[in-house]
This record gives sequence, structure tokens and C-alpha cells, in this order.
Amino acid sequence: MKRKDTMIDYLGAFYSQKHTEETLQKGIDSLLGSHEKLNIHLFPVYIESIYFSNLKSNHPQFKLISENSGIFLFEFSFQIREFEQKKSISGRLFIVKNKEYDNIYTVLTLENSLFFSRGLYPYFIKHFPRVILTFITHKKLKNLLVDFRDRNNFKDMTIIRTTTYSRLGKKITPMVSWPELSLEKAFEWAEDENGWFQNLLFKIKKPQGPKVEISISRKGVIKANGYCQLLHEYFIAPVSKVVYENIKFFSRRARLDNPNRDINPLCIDFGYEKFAEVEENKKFIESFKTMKAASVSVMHGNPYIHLSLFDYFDGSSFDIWVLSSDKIVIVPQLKASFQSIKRLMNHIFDNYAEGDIKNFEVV
Amino acid sequence: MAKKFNEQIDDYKDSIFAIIGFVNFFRFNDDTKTMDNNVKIAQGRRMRTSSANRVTPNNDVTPDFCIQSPDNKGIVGEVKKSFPEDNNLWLEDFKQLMSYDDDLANWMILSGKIDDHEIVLLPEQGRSRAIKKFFEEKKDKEISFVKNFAIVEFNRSDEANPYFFFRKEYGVLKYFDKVDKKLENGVKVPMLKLMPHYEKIKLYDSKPPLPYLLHLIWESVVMLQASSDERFRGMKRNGRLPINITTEQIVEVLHDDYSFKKLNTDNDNHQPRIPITSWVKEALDALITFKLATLVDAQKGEYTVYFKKFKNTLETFIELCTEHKLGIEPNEKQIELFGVQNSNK
Repeated sequence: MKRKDTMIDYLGAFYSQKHTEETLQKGIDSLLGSHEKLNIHLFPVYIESIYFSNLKSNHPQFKLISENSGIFLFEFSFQIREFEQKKSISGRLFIVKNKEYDNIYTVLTLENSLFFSRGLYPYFIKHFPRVILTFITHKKLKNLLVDFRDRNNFKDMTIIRTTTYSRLGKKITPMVSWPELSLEKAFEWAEDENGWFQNLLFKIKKPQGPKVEISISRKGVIKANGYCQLLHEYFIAPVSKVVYENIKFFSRRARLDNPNRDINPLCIDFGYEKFAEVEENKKFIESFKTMKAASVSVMHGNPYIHLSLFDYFDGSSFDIWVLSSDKIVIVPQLKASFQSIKRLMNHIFDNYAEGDIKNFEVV
Repeated sequence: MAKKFNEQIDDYKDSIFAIIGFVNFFRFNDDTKTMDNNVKIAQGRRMRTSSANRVTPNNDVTPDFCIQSPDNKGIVGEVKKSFPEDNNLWLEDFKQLMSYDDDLANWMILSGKIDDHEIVLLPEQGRSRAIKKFFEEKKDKEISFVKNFAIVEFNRSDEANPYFFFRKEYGVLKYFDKVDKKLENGVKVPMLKLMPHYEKIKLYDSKPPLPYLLHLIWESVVMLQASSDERFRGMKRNGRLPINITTEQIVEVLHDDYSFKKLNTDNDNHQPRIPITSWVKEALDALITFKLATLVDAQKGEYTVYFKKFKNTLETFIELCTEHKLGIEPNEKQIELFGVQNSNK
């Protein structure tokens, strides 16, 4: 965004520096500390190698401004329609290459919410499966937040607001107001309601520090007005690891990836008798009705489940079985990309239930 | 008719599960908990009858399963998920089994001959008692076996943790003592253990229900090829993407990746190539009727198939088959016309 206030001078100077990861985070914290209305948006993301090369070279919307030891400064431009008129918007962002994990990056921008929510974020979402954000399970999100609170002694960390979805497909809100619910109680409530937090906004205040508001989404998107370094350490780094590990775990599962065309199934283990009642079969099958760009055929629905799923994003396909009351087995067929497996898992976790993703051992 | 197709698909899958489950009793080594590759198996193998065969001399017969032990003893048999309601027709099924009562050739050994084999019938549990009674009534009259004969019933249990149940109903497996003892009181085999095998064997040497075959072709050949086209992702629901394909290509993919080829000990020229070309041709002709394909070159078996993104692919093919009365056997067509209940169920 082109701004003509004093902040633009600070930002201009900040952008022109050659940053390391440390100076970048420290610099952002310093800017956030000095400018009350400034926010950082950041999220970890997988970007396909060729696709990232395209961003760096001839891309109509991305222009590479500078690069220093894996920290890329880009200008991103897009158009929005306001009052039936097209409006061009551009702004800056950093894409930071992860030092440990191939093809994993952190996207950061100090531009305003309009730039982020109408331009940058939709761009990345739209380019699935070449660009993939993660999904943080309910359990993982809770653990990350509890760890962040306890290890930094943020005793007064309070939830301000959440966007919570029930797996029955509607938004839900608790009976009591948010500040009265501890982090643990809030997660317990969502679980009891068979729901998950799409977004969670909380505030923290250290005795000697400023009041900071942070929001974190299930897709790993963080918005905050402080603590960039801490957010990187407690959220971005572990979530980047999850993104990388998931990609590794979901990769090379297709039969065509295997020289002898063997199957390489995986399962969602609930650890309890989730499918003890026949009613559950119906709920599970129903949960696929909302899946976009897919064909879901019921090969058998009761008492056992056998579904055949075609993913119209890239032509991947899967057989999905429920043959024991505690798990769902997913058998990738001839073609099955890791992006498609991730999308399938994401759909089941959002619309049916969460469990532990494991290898299914074929005996 | 949709219900009928679903039942047929269910029966077809169950037959595959039953064949896999039964042959695995002979392959599974209880001590090492692994499959014993010294036990050779074959599905739909062309076995040669002798001139002395009472049913079909000097001919090929294709049992549902052949099992051959390292000491050259064997088993041949049939899985019958659905026996006709009219037991006058059962004699035909027994005649088929009697055609295996012979010194069969083409076993999986250089000479093609083994010392001896037994004959096993695997009926679904709901009919097994009646079948046993029928056999006992006709034994040594219309039905007779020189070789050892046994009946092993099977059933798919409809429980939260489903399994296939196998139990010996009649006779003794004299060359396979360990398996005989197991089957005496019945064995439950969890479907969870059988499913990974089924995933690689979705077809056997019995003609599959047409919507089931169309679904498999659509997934494993048509969509696979369509998805390599850059227009694939952006296709709308009513969009059509032309794919050039041959019957031979389809047979090759399905034979390599979805037939008993994976489990058969060898795939020499005594093994049929499943799916049979005529089944695939019938499926492609059905796509022409549905306006989802055109014939390019009949001699070369070349077709253009128009890939579409269906919301529920199997249901779509069941509806199309029902609407155009395709994939229905002649007697079923009659039943459809006159509203008579199918005598095969």
C-alpha cells in the first residue's frame, strides 16, 4: 500500500535493509512496538519448486525486489472491484525460505488487512495444489497455545473471540462469554460441541510489556501486533515442521509411485469405538456431501463402509473403508498426490472428526 | 433395477473376498505368520480335462480356484455366492464341479500333472445346509465324485467389525489336515485383513456387473488419462474432455493392476487375461449409448471417450444402465418386463 505518513519512511528503510531471519523478526517487533496500528500477518506454506521460480521471474502479480540468504522481498499487485470500479492495490511481503525443510516458506507482510485478506491470502489459497497451507488439528492447536502461554509465563492470556464451526456445518458460540473460559475449557467446549476453531483471537500482557492481540487460524495464519519472534518460535516453526512432515507422510502413496504397484494405505485412528453405532456410518457418508470438486460413490454403506472418491483437482482417487469401529482406512489408488491426500484428510477432520493419522500396516 | 445392480456389485465383491480368504488358509503359515509362496494358487486357470471326463472330455475347465501344495496335492473349487432359488437348477452347478473330477492337466508344475486333488464347493451360508441335503439325496445317483469332495460354507457377517466366516459343512480335506481342523469349527477372517488384497484384485474370471466395470474403467483409465490434460482441473460439471483410448489399453491396465495376476503363482498361457476384451468392448459400447464415447476404428478397437466430472460416478452409471436397459442379463430383462421376482436371488 502506498502511504504518505511517517510510517512509510520507517517501512522504506526497513525494506531496504539486507535482513537475516533474526534481524527480520527483530525489526518487525521493533516496528510493531513503535506503531500502534501496525500488524503482521504471517503463515507457513508449501510452495512447489517450479512455482516459486515462476514467482521470482516473470510473474504478472509478483515482482521480486530483493533477495538475501533465503529472504525474498516481493511486491504483490492485484485488483479489487469497489463501487463497480476496478481498483489496483499493491504491497510488499517477505517470503522466507525454511532452512530445514525443502519447499517450505513463511510468508510475512506488514501491509493492512485489505491487502492481506482480499489479495495476498486468496492468491495463495487459489493456487492449491501448487501452494499448500496446512491445517492444524484441534489437539495440536491447543498444545501450541498452552505451550506458548506456559513457557512464556503469559498468565493472563485471554480468549477474546473465536470463529467456531460445528461439524454439523454451522457456526457455534458458547453460552458464557469468552474471557470467562480458560484456554483448556474453551477447547473442551469446542470438542463437546463436535466443533473446531477456524480462528481464535486472544490477548496477552506481560507486566512490563505492551498488550498484544494475536489471532491464529486452523490454516496456520497468524495476525498479531507484537511478539513476531515468539510467534515464529512457538507457532511458525512447529507448524512448518507439521507441513513438511505431512507432505513427506502423504507423498509417494499412489500405486503408480510403486514399482510393483503395491498399495500404500494410511488410516485415521480414533483410539476408541467411533463407529460402534450404525448411525455413525450415515454421519460419515453424509460428511462427504459438502466436498467440492470430487465424485463420491458409495460402494457399500452399511454395515461396513466402502467409498470410492475421485478428486477433480488433479485426478487422484481413493478407496475409503470403515471395517473396524476405531478407524478409517484410506487406500490411494493408481494416482494419488500428497496434495489430494491432504485435502481429503482436511475434509474429514473439518466435517466428520479428527483422529491420529497413521500408516495402515498391510499384513 | 438400481437396487439389483447394487446387490450384484456386493455379490461380486463378496465372491472375490471369499476366494482370497479361502486360498489364504492354505498360503498362510501359522508359525511364521507369513504367506507361504511354496503353496501355488491360481484363479480361473484353464485346466485340461482328460478323455475320460464324464461332463466335458478333452476340454478346458476354469475353476474359481486351484491350490497346489509343495507335495503335489491340490484343491480345485467354485465359490457360489448366489445359488438359484429353484433347486432343479442346482444340478448344473454340481455338474460343473463334476467336470473337475478328473485327472486334470495344466497344474503349476512342469509336467502339468500332480498326484491328486480334492474338490471343494464354497456356497454362501444361507444355502449351504440345503445344498448339502441336495447333494446327499443325489449322491451316487445324479451326482458322484471319485475324488474327495467337501463343502465349505462362507458368510459375510454384518457387524461393526465385519468378517468373513468359513466353516466346513461336509466332508474332510484329506490332504490339508491343518486347514481341515481349522475349518471344522469355523474361522472368522476380518475384512480388514482381506481388504488390502481386494484393493489389488477387483476383477476375477466372472463377468462383473456393468456399472462396476464402467466405474473402474472411468477411474483407472479414463480419468487418469484426462487428468494429464491441462484443461482437466478447470473443467466444469457439464464439460467434456475427449480421450482417445483402445480396448487393449483398458484390458492391459485392469489386468495388470486389478486382476488375480498379482496373486496367481504364474501367469502363463493357461491363465486367462482378465478382464476379457469382450467385457471391455461391451462397456465401451455402453458409453457410446450414453453419448459418452464414439467409435473411431472398430478393427483397432479405438474409441474417443468424453470424460465428464460426475458427482457420484457409480450412481450415474447405475442410472444410465437402468435407463438404457444395459448390463441386464436376458432373463432379468424378462423379469423387468413382467415384474416377476428374480428367481436367481
